[in-house]
Amino acid sequence: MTAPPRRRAADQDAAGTRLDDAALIERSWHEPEAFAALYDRHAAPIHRFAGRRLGGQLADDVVAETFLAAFGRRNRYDLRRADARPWLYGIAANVIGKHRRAEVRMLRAWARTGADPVTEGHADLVDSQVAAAAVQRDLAAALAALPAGDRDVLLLIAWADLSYEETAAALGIPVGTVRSRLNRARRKVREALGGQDPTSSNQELDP
Amino acid sequence: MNDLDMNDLDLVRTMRAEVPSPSPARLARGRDRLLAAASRPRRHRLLAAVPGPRRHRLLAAVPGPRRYRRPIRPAGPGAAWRLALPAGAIVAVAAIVCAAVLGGTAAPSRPGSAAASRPGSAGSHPRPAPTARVSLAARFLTLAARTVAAEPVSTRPGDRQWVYARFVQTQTGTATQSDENWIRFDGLEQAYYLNGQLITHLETSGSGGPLDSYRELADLPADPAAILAAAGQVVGTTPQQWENWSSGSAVAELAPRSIGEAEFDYLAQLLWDAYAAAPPAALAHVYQAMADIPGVTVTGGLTSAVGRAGIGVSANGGVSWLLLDPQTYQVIGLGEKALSRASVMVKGSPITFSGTISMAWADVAIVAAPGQRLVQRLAAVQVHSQRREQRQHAR
Repeated sequence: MTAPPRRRAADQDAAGTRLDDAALIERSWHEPEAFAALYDRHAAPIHRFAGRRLGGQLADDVVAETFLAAFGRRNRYDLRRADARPWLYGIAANVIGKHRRAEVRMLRAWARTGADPVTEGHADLVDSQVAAAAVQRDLAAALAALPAGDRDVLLLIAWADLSYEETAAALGIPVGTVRSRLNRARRKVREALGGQDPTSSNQELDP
Repeated sequence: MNDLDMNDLDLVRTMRAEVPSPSPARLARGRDRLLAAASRPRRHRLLAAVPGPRRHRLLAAVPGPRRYRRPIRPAGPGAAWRLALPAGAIVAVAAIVCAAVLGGTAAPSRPGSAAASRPGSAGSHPRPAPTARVSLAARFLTLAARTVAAEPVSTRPGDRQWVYARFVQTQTGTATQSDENWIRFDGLEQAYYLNGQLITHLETSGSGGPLDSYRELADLPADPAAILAAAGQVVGTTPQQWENWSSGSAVAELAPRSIGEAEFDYLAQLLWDAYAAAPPAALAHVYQAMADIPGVTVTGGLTSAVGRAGIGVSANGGVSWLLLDPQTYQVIGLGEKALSRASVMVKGSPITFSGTISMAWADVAIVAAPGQRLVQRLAAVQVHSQRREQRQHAR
């Protein structure tokens, strides 16, 4: 992962061993600057996740806000959790939630016009993707219509690659709830596709 | 992407897959903001987070486990006890409510509220007689709603006009902290003084700027129940969701322990953020929605961080409050009692928080250019606040 220049060994202990996230956060209790190493580890994937949901500009703000909020709360981090990703994605999901209307507006625009405001500019579509454009519009309409909590679960799993357990930890909900939300979301997605061959380019199911 | 056996989840994974990983340059600004917050440990985060008047919050760094009561879901928006006030009755009710509130009624805490459940604070918040107080708070907020709604519609600043704001925070036992900055109404440019030099920089989006806050209020539904439903959507349904949400909020350090407290914090935050301009009708609707939150109380005899008298409205038994002007019913500040002495280690030395914290937008004005402080606020209040600051500094 590329990262801005930083003090070497900021995320290592005295013996040069890489610290896990929990140890880094604990270190930041006494050396606040150490928190920057956590940023260097996790900011890029969280930015991409936010960028897929809201576009790059808002993602800049989401990432900055997420880490500022995490920094302010570092004293309450549960040090038994070695991997901070669920914690950070949970905060990010909440920050993204403040832009829910923008997210839904852009998904609807995509569904309606076929042009996705989020990917305009870096759309290098290969042929099969162009062919699947109609499918993607239906998917966008389905995502826009999901309850926010269901969309959070679906996208943390599909886009952030969190496990069920990590998603549960991120959102502060039981794993069973993750399962039921995911099932519901996937059912809506399948319904939006009308049970048709998802690679066929001729379907236009108006939502 | 042509696999016929691709399932629905795989299809979702292909959506916007072309969005690239951000460049280091793109991430640098967020990293700088983080480092700026990290390298100013002796200031509260609310001041450390310069630039940007948003997202001030109390006691950001106070550590320690939070204890939740089992979340209480109120049995609906409580419209049953909302009062229908005939217009002619307003003046009479105003007199009664203000007399009662200004008479110095102590803010009651609800039975089993934080005051009782958190260690080290038992006994400092007397137990309430909830029903009567709830009714008083509802009357007060209904009156506030009617008063602000009757105002002439204020003109909204132009998108490219600059808003000057001076923010003041007082805290028992520490020097008053003050911070000023400029932000364009559309939020796309900000400015502040650093070491005597005016620094101006562009924002990537206007998100969180005055215009954004103005629109957020303007877009709220008019119906109090619909406002509370929208608030409930944002704050979530579990204690952790409430905490996650409220950690970015200026309103209270104490995490919400019920959906009602979370909704109140959400609405109070909207009002606090709309310091530059708020549509009067929306303000009225928010007050009316607050009146429908069970457990909301009012307390008179409070002062803002710059010494203005105000009436506190609270959803957590008076632990934290939104301060309203007793005549205009506009928001003039926020306050919170630290429930117990808590300390945080900063560079090896403990900093202790206790007592009361108050925050206010001391001066807010539309100015022609960043760096200008054309303040048209009450001169007496400013002199008072300056003296108060000098006293604080002298300690």
